[in-house]
Amino acid sequence: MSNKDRYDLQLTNVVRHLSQSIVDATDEEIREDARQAGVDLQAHAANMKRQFENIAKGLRQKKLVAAKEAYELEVGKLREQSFNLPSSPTERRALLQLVAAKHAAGGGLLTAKFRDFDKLSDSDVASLLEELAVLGLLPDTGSESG
Amino acid sequence: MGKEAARKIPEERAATPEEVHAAIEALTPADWYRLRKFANYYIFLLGEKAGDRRADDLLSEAFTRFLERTRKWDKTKVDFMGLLFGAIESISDNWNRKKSTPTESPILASSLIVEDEDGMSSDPAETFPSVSLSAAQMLIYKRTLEEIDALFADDSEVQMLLEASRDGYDPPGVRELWGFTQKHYNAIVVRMRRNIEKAGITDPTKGSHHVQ
Repeated sequence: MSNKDRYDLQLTNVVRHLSQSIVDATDEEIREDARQAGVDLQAHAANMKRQFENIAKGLRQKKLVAAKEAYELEVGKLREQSFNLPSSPTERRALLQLVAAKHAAGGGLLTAKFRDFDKLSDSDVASLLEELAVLGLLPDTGSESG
Repeated sequence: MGKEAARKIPEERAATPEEVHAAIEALTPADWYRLRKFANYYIFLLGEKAGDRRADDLLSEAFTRFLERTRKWDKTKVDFMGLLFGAIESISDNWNRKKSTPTESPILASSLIVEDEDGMSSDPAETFPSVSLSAAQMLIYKRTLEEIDALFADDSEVQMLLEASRDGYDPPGVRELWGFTQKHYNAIVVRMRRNIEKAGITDPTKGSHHVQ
């Protein structure tokens, strides 16, 4: 089929020679192109890099926002669950100590973080027990969806 | 290139975002200039379909695709510059196929690409048929060709290259047709490139090469 009236194709064909010549150009030719166009290559590259950094930064922020949203979703799910925990703070602390001792004896999963029980507030103890319940590490304290 | 990229690339051969980042960091000033000029040609060819998009937008889209891994880089197959040139061409082709209306909201084209469980990427835009050009845009292309012809009215070698390229000859075809050596062809095309640049003919930000 003739390209006679397809000016779009004709121009595309011409421009492809130009774009290919840019791909094949030596660095010296590029420097001369830039000089003739009045472009400072170093400043141009610095500007382009800056733009790229902004893109990369935007993508990182997008990932952080997505991770934060996923975290908050999980926290929300935890909050919606109710657990059969002991009603008094003293009993809850005792339960935590019991679980910690049990896991320590078995070379268990709990870390030193859980050893200083005296330093934990009542609300911290309750939160830890809820997390342990979600992990299925509490004896006789099933969880119920709230 | 689009089809090449869409083929399944084994995870162990696909560059990580960190490797892509490092490759971008390693680009030289000449590389940045090459990439921008290359992207500029494709924005110019898009004409009215480019809308407000410029070469930087095309490059940003390419970088985004590789950093987000909606498009992967098989380092064993192609170098990073070759990869970017191919991506620019492919993205520009996608933009060319997308029908736009004044009421459509612009979205990042990379967000349309989906990857199936086998790691095969697909871009819904690639399945759309090409949208036909407006008569106004065709007229602008015609005038642009006339401008280029006029610019080289006294340069018979560029005229020979223009005539062959308008007929669809690629660089090796032009060299064979006219018996140009590689060096001779390069000299002609570089002369053509620099004069067109100086006249601002392929610069989308200059002149009236887009339908208003």
